[in-house]
Amino acid sequence: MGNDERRWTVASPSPLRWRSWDDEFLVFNTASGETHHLNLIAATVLQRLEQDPATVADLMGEIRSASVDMPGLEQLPALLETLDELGLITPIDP
Amino acid sequence: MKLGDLTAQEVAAELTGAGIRLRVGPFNIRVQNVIEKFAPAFHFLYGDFPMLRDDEAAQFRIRRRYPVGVRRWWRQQVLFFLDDTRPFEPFPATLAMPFFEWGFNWCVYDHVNEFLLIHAAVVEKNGGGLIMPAAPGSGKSTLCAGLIHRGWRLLSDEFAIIGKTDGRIIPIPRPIGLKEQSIEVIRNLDSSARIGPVFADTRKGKVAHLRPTREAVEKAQETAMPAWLVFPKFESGAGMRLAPIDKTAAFVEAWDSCFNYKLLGEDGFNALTSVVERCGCFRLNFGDMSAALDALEDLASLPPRANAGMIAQAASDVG
Repeated sequence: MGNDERRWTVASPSPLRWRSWDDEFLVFNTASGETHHLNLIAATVLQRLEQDPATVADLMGEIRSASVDMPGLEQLPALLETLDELGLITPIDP
Repeated sequence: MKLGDLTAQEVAAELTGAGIRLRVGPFNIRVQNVIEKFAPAFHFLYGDFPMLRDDEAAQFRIRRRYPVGVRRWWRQQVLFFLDDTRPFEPFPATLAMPFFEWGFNWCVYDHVNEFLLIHAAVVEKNGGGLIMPAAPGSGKSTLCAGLIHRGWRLLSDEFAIIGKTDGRIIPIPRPIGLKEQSIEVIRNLDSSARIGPVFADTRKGKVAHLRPTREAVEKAQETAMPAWLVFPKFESGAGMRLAPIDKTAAFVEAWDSCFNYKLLGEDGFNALTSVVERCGCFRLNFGDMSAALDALEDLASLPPRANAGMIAQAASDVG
């Protein structure tokens, strides 16, 4: 399975706590006790993955179909790796 | 009964015996001390603080005594204990008062987790709390003293103590630590300012303490709602600029100034975000205290929600 076909989901069943001002977001990970400062695309992706697992292609397709101008969308694979390193998401199919 | 109802001699005698027990903001303390030079300064600076009743327990039990050996007599040193813990190296007996204040700070930031603690000076006007988080040398204590001179109420010179459930500021109106030139700045501003002895050779340079007003101490149980979050920075010779900052940036900067954010977990996140949510958030760069005080007074003259627009205009005019 290629990396782009992996499905991603949130790393912990513990809930995330959100607060946003303008297009910037804070998320508190109740599992790790860490607080993260996210930009719009990172928050959009993470909130989407809180609902259901998804692949890179799923996420890109959904964001593009929503006709949302989302800076940084082309770096989505790298963003997912970063969110993984932060302990916020994890691949389902390693 | 207040500490100031006792004579200096009585305070000195109690300190060397069973100790003096005071209510200082949300904390009850007991101080036992054998250092002769400490008692008069303590009596002066804490004179308005209420003494505990016999049935009230002391949360922090502080003892200071001389070490055994030559340093009991030669270049006299002193030991600081919280119960049986000695957190610091011995310090010079001549600096007993500033070391008491620093030791008291340590007691709070190292032991208190029932509140969110932000390193900040905090004052209040018309029910709104102005929180000024900042690193040492930023001018926060000088601003704090200057605002008190203009009628603001001292909530704290060291800690913004935030209730985890209601997000309100709990006062701890201890003496304000003034350093170096700020001592003269405050004396020049207010010739009647009640400043205690000056200690010349501390690790922070020259230090003195401004006695809190009686009103601030008597209202120590009256909490305040956060209204303004201002990050001050003194720059010698610079102009004055008070500019709004976005809330996420304010959160991140305030987070850096918290003592126990991470320990509180989700409560810390909720408390700090509620502070930021409620506050108008600004950065204050100043070289002239009078102009800085005027700008902060202007903040308080308008409802918090109106501040951002007004100050944005002012910043563009000045900048």
